Amino acid sequence: MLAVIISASSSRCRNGKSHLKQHSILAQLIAAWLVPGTGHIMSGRKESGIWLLVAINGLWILGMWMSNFEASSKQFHPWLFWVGTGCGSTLVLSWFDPASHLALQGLATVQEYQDVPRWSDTGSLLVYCGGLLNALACLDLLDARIDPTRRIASTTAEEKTG
Amino acid sequence: MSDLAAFLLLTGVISVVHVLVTRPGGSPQGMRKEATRYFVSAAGGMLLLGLIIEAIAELFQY
Repeated sequence: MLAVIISASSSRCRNGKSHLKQHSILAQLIAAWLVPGTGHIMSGRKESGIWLLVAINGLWILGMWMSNFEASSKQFHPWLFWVGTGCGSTLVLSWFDPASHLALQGLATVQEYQDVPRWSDTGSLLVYCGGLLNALACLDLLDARIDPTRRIASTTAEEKTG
Repeated sequence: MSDLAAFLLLTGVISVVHVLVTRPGGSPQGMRKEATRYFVSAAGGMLLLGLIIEAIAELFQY
């Protein structure tokens, strides 16, 4: 993944102009889904990609930390979990289910009292909002491919500033 | 207070993403300026709406 990002952001000087390696839309979408923002960087919209990378990943990391990884658990949030999968990392993390030890099973539910972390709900909310926003960012990538005329000027402007 | 912090954080991130995905090519304003303007109007508008609803609720409570 890192190699893909580096190859996309590294410029190759040709005739005094920098050219970015063209990736297929599928590769861009998969990268954007797994790590928000990388799809935009791969498509040449470096500034937008960095902003998305910081904003959505920041929201996701903060949310996971606050919710004690409960946001990535299908056991705790069987429906809302799927909203969080707008960020692929939520789905990947759910395979390991780091919050599974927090769930009490059978008799333990009545014999033990387990306090819910204070920021659990807020954290889950941040992760799920991050998932929705990343879905929007992925749709933007697709939209830019379907109708590139809307984005040409902004890409050129970003290349000039970047 | 924590709710306010979460509200401001979410509004901020939503403003940034909204501006990034809706800004047409060749927009004269900078991304940061546009996102700040959107954040102030969105968060301010929602807070204003909340205050109006609170005021109406105060007026009509019995």
